[in-house]
Amino acid sequence: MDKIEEKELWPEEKSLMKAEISRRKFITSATLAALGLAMTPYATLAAAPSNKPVNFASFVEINTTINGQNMKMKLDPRTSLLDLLREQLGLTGSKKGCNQGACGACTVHMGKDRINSCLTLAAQIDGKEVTTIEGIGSETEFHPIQVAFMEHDGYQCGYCTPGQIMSAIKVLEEDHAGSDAEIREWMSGNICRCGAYKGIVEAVKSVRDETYDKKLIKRTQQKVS
Amino acid sequence: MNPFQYSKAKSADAAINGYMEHDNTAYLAGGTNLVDRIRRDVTHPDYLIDVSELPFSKIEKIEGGLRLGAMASNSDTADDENVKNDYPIVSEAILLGATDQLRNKATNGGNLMQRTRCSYYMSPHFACNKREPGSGCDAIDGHNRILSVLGTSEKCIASYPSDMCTALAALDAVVQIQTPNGGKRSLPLVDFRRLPGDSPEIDTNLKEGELITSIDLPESSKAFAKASHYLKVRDRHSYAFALVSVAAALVMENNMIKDARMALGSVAAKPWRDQEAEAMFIGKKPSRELFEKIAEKTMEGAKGYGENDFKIELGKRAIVKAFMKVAGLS
Amino acid sequence: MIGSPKIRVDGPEKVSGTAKYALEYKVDSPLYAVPVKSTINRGSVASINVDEVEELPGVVKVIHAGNAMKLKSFKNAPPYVLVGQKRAPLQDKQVDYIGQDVALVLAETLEDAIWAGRQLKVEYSQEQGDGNIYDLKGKTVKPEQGMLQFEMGAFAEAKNNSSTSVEATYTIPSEHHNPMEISNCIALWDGDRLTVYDATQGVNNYQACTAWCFETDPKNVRVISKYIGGGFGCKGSYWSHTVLAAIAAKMLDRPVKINLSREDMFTSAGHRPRTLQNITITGDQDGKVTGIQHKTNSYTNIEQKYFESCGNLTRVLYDIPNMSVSHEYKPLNLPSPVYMRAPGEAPGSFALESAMDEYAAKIKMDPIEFRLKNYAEVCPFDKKPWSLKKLRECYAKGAEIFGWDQRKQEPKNNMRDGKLIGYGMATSTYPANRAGGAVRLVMDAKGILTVQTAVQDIGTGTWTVMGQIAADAMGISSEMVNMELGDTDFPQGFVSGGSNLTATAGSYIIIAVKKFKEKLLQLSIAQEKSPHYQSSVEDLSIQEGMVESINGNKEKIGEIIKRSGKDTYDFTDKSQVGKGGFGYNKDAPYSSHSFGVIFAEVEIDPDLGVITVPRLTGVFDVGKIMNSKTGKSQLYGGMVWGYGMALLEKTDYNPEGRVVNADLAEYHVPVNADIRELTVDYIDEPDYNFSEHGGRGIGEIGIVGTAAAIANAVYNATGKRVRDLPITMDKLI
Repeated sequence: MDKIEEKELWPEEKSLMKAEISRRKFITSATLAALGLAMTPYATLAAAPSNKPVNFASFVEINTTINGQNMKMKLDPRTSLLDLLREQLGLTGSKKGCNQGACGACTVHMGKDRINSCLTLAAQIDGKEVTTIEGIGSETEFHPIQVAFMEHDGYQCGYCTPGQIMSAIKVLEEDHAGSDAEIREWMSGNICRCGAYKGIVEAVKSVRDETYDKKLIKRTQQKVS
Repeated sequence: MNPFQYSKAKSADAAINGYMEHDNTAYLAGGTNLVDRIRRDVTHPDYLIDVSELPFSKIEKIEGGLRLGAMASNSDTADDENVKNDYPIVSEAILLGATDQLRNKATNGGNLMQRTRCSYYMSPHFACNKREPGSGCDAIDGHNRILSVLGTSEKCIASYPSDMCTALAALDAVVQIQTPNGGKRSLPLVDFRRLPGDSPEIDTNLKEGELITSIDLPESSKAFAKASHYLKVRDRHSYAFALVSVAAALVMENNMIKDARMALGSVAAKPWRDQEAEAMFIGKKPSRELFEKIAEKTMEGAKGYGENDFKIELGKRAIVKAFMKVAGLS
Repeated sequence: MIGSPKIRVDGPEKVSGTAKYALEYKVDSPLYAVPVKSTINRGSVASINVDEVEELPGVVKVIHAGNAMKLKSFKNAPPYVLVGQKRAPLQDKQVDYIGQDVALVLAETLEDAIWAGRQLKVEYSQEQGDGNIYDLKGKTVKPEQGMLQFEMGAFAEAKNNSSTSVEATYTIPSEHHNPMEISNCIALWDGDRLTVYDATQGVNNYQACTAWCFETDPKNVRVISKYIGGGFGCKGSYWSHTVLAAIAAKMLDRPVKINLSREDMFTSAGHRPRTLQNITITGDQDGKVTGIQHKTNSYTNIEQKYFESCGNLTRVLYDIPNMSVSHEYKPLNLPSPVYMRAPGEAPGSFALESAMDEYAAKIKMDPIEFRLKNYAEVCPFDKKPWSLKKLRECYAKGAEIFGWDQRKQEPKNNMRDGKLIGYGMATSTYPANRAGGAVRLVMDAKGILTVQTAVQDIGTGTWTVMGQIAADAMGISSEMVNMELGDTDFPQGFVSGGSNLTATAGSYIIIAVKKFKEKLLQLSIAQEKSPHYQSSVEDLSIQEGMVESINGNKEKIGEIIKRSGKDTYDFTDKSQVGKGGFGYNKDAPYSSHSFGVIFAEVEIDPDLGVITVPRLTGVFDVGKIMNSKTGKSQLYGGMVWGYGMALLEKTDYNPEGRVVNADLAEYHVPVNADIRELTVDYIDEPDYNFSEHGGRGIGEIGIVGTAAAIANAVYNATGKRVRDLPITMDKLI
């Protein structure tokens, strides 16, 4: 994706506390499309406005980079990073499984580390770089761990999968994949209720050992939904 | 979450001033506990001061020991070479707590400030003197399997789940604090948290507006690096709070115990140290019998509340198990 | 083809984060809805501070019993309208349990909706309710269903005449499904037509239920569920979140995204009720069982009839001449329990297979030998032949793989590295269910077969496996099949539950494809320019996408469409099975069940009682496996659930019926570190007496027996018989 500098993703008026929602300027879907983002609910909120202000005690301005794109936003300070991604930016790959840091489905990378985006206020990504599942791999190729999850069936329903993959990338990078026991321990921050743990461990091992099926690396156009 | 204002502090002074200028303020560091509590309607700050970017994130050697910056992440602390070499149970304990995702975000200062995970505290639907003073305690006659057996009161039996602090308490760590008047003070970690008594709503001995800047490990505690172990007993093999944990450390000389440290986690509202029990190690030859005697002494005043009765026996066994390992007898 | 380890066709989307789950569809200007739940277990709503909350910034509306649009009650709904809770939300002020919907708050942002929900003060006039799950005796109801109050022979007499018997009571706590995806949906109306993006195990059921209560033709309700983040039974029955979202979307004429929390999953999507089972097994010293009595107590919601049918498998598993199986349940002021992975069989097998182990231990017999002595050659309760049974082979293969011969018969007699080692086993079984459904098949000129049917993939592999089945039946490669599922605009399918779907949809797809093939070939032989013009259909076959005659003429299948002058050729077919279809069919010539055996090795710290399960092995007789990759995953998953049931899972309630540990931090499900060596194998012999492809369902059988195998291993390691799940360290020290 091209880097797009300094795009405002949120209302730019001052004193938004008193602003009526209908008067806010929302960026157009065209702008969002240019950013490679889905047209989000918020972006189209003006289409059917009610005439009441929203309940923000104050706005927080942040300047952040998500999946390589620099963004400036004004936010309700209560917004979690996870809700920012899912409800405002259309980046729905990060999942909400518990919203309390007890499942790992919302795992993203912030700087060098993986974190739970549900326990991170969006305000706290100011000046940081965030990578979500949508930023993994390239447009034409999967990341090897994505291939390995498919090959080893390291999932069933798929809901925990983006979080598992974000964790697995770090487990491999940080050299915590030495033994099966070590992989299990370091992958334990991501709950899979379907119980695909065996496949998950196999997937991590196959990337560690570079035995994953390289023929599957090309991103397919396949889409079922 | 209740509506609140947020500001990021550029300096410790600014953070403290901001705290004192506003009512109902909270410091936000990693947020792994605070954000959860706000979301669950347990805590309602009007003003959040983000202290996570204050310059307290270093782990550095200082005169007299090792300084763990209050804003250093739990992960960075566990990974630090000096911590691993000189105070290995701190690293062990951190790595047995939570998950990598949480440890990356959680800070050392925040770890000290985390509150109990008692289910009755964590839900506004129940009576809880810690959350709402005077409302009562549903835990005492309730599902209290994970709660305290030591240092409890009729008002509260909450337990403090930090693994890191259990290890730090064993090693005589000292909490460094910046005060609102621009001064500094320090508190031994073991005295940092309070037992519930009549005011379980107050967790720590930190005063209004005070900010933790570091946790210092004394040089003298390096002596325990050779023989120490952190034992965590929990239901799940990972990603679970301890039912009982033991930070165990010995200094041996001519097959005799020269010095000993023992702290228990998740059995009280603070990391539990018993100086009298520790004294019983000194000058003795390590043996199962000795450790059993010490375990008995340590749990002497323990009181069970039904579901958590087993923690008394489990605590004793964990003490023996941990020290048998440290002494090389298991 | 069938059986091959094809990688999931939905894999690329799942690993990329682009797979769309219910709440992830783009809709214009949604309102965020947050339900407010009751805090008393019985009484009525006296007042709500609606005006105050509606004044709050960002809040658009508070919907409650006083202003909600009126719906038709589910009370007299037919059985195909499968609801979890008969009381439709916000229709009256009565409160039956803690966690019932009493209001719905709508706001422009998620943050405001959640906060406003917290500001809603609901006053009640309270009545005396009973929400205590810890007393399952007393005012109970005995269900009339004959099969579940089952008597055969004379148990009392058998007991009197027996030389040996064991009797014990087993308890299993309430448990919650907790799929990773919280039950949520988006509802939007376009005039009279409603579209719901939901997380459901049965799009047609959600359509039927919605149409029923909104009193509209099902055609006006479209339910879409392309991806479901796990269900395990809690997304099969219809729950209030869908109704609430649809009401709000209608009343406010805007799309509504409802936002339940993880805590709400403990009150608003069902659970497995706590059970108390008493089992007596009587027989002789040589291991021949002469009688069994299996009594089950559970509970239900005061308006519901769901209860845990633990005795089901006792009628099926062993050749025992005298049986007495009974159930009773207590209506309580609690949210309704519902099907949870292997309802009945999962808890039932813990009790039965523990009791069997107790008997074997008592007579000092090897547990497998004991089970073989009582092997059921025909179905014990109806004496019908099995459609196929390979349990004996499972025992043999499993014992071999696991190394059962290393087991010590005497408990507490096996140490390794200072740990107590124990081996345990248990038999597993689950009924083979199959229902009917419909499918539309479309072939285009490229030879691509589109298969449309309103079934859904809850993670079981349906997207992939149905494509394999259709491809196999058609004689084309599975890359040439385009599956279209999870949408009620397609012909009626069936619910993903009771391990039926692969047999159900797989069979009706095969039947339809066979007819479709015949039609295509008929078309081909009637086309003058066809190489097969005027051939006989019997002489033609389709292989690898080529229509081939016995004399060697062949062409691509798409050529038939090309010559037809149309873009596509399509066909819709519907098939029914038996009389009622799903479930037990007394007129069927065979009794159809799946079987298996679970082996567990446990390692126990003798000081702390900490339990590790180094090995779990399952060998199953489940007919033909459709896809060895996704199939194994389901069996692994079931066994992981069994691990959780055995050692971790437990929902705590207070005496009024409020869940205490309503989150994933304190409701423990297994994590990666819990699961060590997991081995699955199967007999893989097709059961054509049961389904078109010879497969039986596999979603549930993995959990059945696993908890007992672990408990039996714990006994073998320690000599302690734990009859109260979960087996935690406090029960061993």
